[in-house]
Amino acid sequence: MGKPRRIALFLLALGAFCSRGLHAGDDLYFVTYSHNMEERGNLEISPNLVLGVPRTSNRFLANWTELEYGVNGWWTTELYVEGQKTLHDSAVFTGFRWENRFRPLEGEHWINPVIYVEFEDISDADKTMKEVVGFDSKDDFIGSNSELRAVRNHEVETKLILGSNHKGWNVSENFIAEKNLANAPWEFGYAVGASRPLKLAAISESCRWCGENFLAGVEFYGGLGTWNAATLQGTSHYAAPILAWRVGNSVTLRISPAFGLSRNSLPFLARIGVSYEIPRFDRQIRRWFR
Amino acid sequence: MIWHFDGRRTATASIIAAWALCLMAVWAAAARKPGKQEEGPAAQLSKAPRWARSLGNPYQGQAEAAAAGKKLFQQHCAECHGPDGRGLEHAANLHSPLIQNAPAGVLFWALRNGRLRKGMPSWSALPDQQLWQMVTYVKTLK
Repeated sequence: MGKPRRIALFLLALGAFCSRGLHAGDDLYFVTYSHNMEERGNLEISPNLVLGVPRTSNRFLANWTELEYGVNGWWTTELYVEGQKTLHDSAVFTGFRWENRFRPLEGEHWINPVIYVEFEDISDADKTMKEVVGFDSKDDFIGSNSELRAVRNHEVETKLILGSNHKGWNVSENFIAEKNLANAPWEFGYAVGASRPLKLAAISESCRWCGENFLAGVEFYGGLGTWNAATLQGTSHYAAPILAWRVGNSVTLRISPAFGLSRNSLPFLARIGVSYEIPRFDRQIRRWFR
Repeated sequence: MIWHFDGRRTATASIIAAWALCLMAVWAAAARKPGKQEEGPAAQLSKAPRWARSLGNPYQGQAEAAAAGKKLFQQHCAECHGPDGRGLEHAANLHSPLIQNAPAGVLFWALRNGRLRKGMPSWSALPDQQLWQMVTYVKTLK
């Protein structure tokens, strides 16, 4: 049995054996951010895999692990650690990201803004495709890991996240502006998503396979060029249906095939992720020090 | 179509502007310390708009909905409000007359909006039906 298949089976088994319910911070999307923040004191651990199937370079399996913590109701902070394995090539650690999301407005509005600021220290070997900006294209994946990992990028990424929850639907729009701290122009990108639970009302019995535990949605993401040339052309764009299964109170399993929509896109990507939430992690830490 | 922007100065200005915007947002959020009168759940519930007060609970009195609400309560709320809803740490006691006498629509509004500055999350990610089921359950705690 291949390593990717073993990892996928492990994630499925992990999901199947955990049995607690869903929390507010859980998000369906892989690329798009919604305005739903992590609950105060909760820690979410989320390993994710991306399988890339390029035509002009080797297949790859990239991984990022998220540690998301709700500092308080309006501030969520997150650390990402990333790596990848390319077929007929090596496995490499590609870097880390530290992101912060701030929700400036109290209460729920028709459109809810969230401000996102992230620092990235990642190499060109990064293949997680957590966002698509500028003129990102399939050609970025050509080259050996040893060549690509030698180029390190220190970047600041900002996002304006707009989200709405209405009648069970979540609609989220992200405008992305990313700046390499070396001398490079701002790069822009977008991500939009819409999702809904399969069933809106809950049933009284505890259940694992009922419609309320499944969310379906779709997201679109792509690049918008740079400050010097803002355009939709010459960049890559993707459409990705998503299905999430709330396995239990703290575990959510997500899968998403993504299809390239432009000549510069990879033809196919498959993402799988599992998130495990530790409720009131802050309280548990306090108990340890008492 | 391609738009051309000129100059490094504009780019530098935009970096500064983006950071200033973020810092302002953080400052604004941090500066919004509520006064003493605003601190309690009573003050929060009193902020509910008129339309929320007039909302009727579509599941009122339905035992099946209350049972579903209990399940949802245990999943989402028990961590802070306690498994019996009597409140832990700073979370409100849901058996209190304040909560029990509040109109159902006000509780629905409070669940949907949360109190982010006080740590109560917004549950707007849940469908309205599930919020009403939770309200139905909370009203059975009398």
